[in-house]
Amino acid sequence: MSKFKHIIHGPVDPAKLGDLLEKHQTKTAIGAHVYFLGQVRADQKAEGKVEGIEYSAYEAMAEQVMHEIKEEAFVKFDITCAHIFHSTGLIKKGECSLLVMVSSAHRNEAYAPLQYIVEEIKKRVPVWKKEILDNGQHIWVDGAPT
Amino acid sequence: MEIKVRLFGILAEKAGSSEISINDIENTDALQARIDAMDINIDTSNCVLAVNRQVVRSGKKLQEGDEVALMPPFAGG
Repeated sequence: MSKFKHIIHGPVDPAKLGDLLEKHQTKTAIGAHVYFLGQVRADQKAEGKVEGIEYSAYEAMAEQVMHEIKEEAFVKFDITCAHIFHSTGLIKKGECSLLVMVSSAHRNEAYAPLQYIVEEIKKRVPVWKKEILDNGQHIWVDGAPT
Repeated sequence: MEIKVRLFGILAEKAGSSEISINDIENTDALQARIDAMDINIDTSNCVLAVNRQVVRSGKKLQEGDEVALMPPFAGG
């Protein structure tokens, strides 16, 4: 099991990006970093406007699956580093709930693994989303068939 | 043998609990049938079942101490 914790409680802190970058600047075989950030969008639903999303997870399994996805990315692609941070709890509109960072020697090696990791997270990580509306109602977001 | 089944997402909301206990079942098919028959408004045919954090599709034998989770389709990311 990875020593890193992928699940965080609360939104992704924007300062985390700078912090991650700073930590990688000693790794001078890296030539490129790519990031994905998922931000909560204020969608207008028929029932009301989204003010935030409440994320919940089967945390122990989610940690395990995200570790597996990262390990797969290292096997399938030529990357130096990969980091995943997925929020739980209430994340307000405009805040970020997912951060994925991939680093590699060359930029062309970074794009595909980033997409792979993000798409696999969406398919395989046991996390659920409840949209909280401005009228106090909530709507569970349908997941894709697993 | 008592199996505790953790519920997540909308399933926990429908059941009014994050965990249910099921007695006297041997495998995951029997477990799903028992849950479908309970008066908690859950249809397991659209759910994901995990035993010891591994997704199970059908017919897995259950043992004392297994960690069982019944989950709606995932919606992370």
